[in-house]
Amino acid sequence: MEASCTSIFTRQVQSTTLCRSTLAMRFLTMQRPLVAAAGSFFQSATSRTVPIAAQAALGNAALVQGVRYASVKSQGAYKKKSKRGIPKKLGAKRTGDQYVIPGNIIYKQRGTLWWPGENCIMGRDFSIHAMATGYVKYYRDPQRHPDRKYIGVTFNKDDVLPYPQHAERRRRLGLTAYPIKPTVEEPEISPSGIPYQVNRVVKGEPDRLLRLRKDYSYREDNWRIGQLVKTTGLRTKRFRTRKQYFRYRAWRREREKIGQAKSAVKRAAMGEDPNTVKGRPLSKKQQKAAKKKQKAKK
Amino acid sequence: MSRCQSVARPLARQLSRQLYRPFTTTPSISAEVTTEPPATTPSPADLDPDTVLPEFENALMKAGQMPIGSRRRRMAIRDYPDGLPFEQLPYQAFQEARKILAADREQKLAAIRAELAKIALLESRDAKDFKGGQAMKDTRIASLKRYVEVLKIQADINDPVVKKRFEDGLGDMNKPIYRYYAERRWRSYQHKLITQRIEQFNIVPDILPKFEPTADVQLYFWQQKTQPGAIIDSLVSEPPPRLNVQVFDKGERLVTIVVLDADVPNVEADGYTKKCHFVAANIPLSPTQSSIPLGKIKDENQLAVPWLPPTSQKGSPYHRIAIFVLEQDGPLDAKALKEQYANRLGKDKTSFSLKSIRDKYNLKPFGFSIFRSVWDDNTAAVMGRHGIEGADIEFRPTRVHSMKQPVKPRGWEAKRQGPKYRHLWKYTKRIKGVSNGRKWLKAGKR
Repeated sequence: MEASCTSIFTRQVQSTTLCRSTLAMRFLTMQRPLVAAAGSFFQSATSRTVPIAAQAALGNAALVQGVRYASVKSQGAYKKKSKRGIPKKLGAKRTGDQYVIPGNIIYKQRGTLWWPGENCIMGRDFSIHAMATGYVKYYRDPQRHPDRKYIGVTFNKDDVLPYPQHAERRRRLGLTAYPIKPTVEEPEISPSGIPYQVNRVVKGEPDRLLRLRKDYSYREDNWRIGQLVKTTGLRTKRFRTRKQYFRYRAWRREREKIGQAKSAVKRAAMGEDPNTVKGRPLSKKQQKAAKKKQKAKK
Repeated sequence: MSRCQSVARPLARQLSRQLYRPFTTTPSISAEVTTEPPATTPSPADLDPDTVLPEFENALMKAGQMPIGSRRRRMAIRDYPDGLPFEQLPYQAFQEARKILAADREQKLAAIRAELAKIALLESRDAKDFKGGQAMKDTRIASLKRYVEVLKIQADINDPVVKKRFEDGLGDMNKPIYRYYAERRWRSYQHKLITQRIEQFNIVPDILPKFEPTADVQLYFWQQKTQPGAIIDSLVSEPPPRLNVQVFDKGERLVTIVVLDADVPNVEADGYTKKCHFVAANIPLSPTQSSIPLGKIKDENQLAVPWLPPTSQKGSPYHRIAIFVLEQDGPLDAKALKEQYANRLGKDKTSFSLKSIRDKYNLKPFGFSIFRSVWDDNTAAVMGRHGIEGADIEFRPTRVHSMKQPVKPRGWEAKRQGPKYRHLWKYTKRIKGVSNGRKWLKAGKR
């Protein structure tokens, strides 16, 4: 260590910054008793080469001794472990053969590392959800797709996915039978002697059924008012689902691209751009060749 | 009136004056002076707006009827009330083209004759003379016969009259060319549609492990054609439908018709079973005889299981009612079928299986159609009329409870529910949506 230091000094390094940084690093690794001695040595050594003003700026027993003051630490750059962001918590949430119920997330992912197989669906963020109670199976199905990996849910733990291709699908009813409740006929006239419901007839408007309320007022059912929207023929949303909208947006972008290409062709036809041929831009090779040709002409 | 006829009319009118007029140096017909005195009394043709002559136009218009189109067109109609035959259209290029087509047809017919002679020769030879023996002989004859079939179609495929007759629906299905056209039309749309239905309704593999339809099956309820896969009201499907099964290969055959419901809920097994709604065997079918009204099948030798109106219980998902037409290799014993499927399920009394009936009686499924049934306003009445049970129950999804442990209620109010905090009860009890006088509402909430 000593030897290397002296060798630097013998080379009479003028660049103070370089010298400071390298020395600081080296001294920090030194043991404490050595630090004091080296510091004195360092001071005497630099005093020969570095002007006094620069020496003040360089300053630095503090740095040499490896002390960082709070004002520096509070800036955070030293403390923060870089390249470590917020965890996304992706990956398998249920292992193979684990029991799941409908709606359980089996796998979280960016993109489709895994595809939904038997009794599973893929969510909007590509997460794989169970659609039935059963046991999770991770599998491949070369008949369906040669490369894809699938996650499925089987009703029995012993079942192996994929099922044979020509076998009947295994389906579960998942329904319980209840007796249908007979609808109770409501009397037309309330105990107060007024009808439970009246029909409001206005010319040019659909008839409205007004029902008797607790406060003895007649008012239309809220759900019926909601149904009125349908009679206007208004369309509040252009697309019923997000997927439909994305499909439309992709189609529109595609069409824009085609249109732009077409208009580029048209523009080129109007006034020929030297760097295009038949509306298409020249490749670099072609451009070079064209330049050479022009030079040769001159 | 077809387009070519209407075009041809003016020409035909010219021809009517002088049917065949070769190139001559004499003046044209229009230049020849014809002095016919104009008629004074209107003939019956002059009272018709299609054929009225110019001199009677006014009278007709006064009567309130407008003469049609142009005078030239009216004259053309007047001259040929039945229209000029298509083959005799007086266009030179057309007639020349027809000659070429006729020559081609002659060539094809000659080829057919030659191939038939070859077949006869091969059949007369002994199997020992062939290198591969009887198998090779059969193969060669079969391949020649296939080639003859191709030639038969090739002979007629360019004939515009044949094509026109097919498009007018007048094609004779006994002739190979019309069957060829019919199959091509079916493959262009209906076949694609039905194969898509087979795929998306999982008919393969739910009902059969493999199936490729080769005949057009159309379904009619109350004389109305229904699209494959349509949801049919239970009242509409109460009487049996009529099938129109168009086959595209020659000859008469016997077929079996099976209608089955592939989605009968089975609560005990927590799954689905199949039930047959109609089975009839020994039904003759040929390319020309395609209509099969299921309601008219009453012969004991044919009807095995009578029609059961398809119904589905309230809350159950849609039922796929599949109609299969299966080819028999000989007459079947309908009584045996009747015995076996009297309970509409089969011998094991669990579920009807088309596979087993196919294998047992050696049937080949070739036609398919489908419709769907759901619970609707008329279903209960239909079930009542036909003694079908289950109209009084409804299906609701079985609740699957969360696997998470219920959490104890937390928070300031939850802590102060006990008698120790009696003085705070006016604040901690009867909170709307959280608790009432008797219990903590969120405690048992999963």
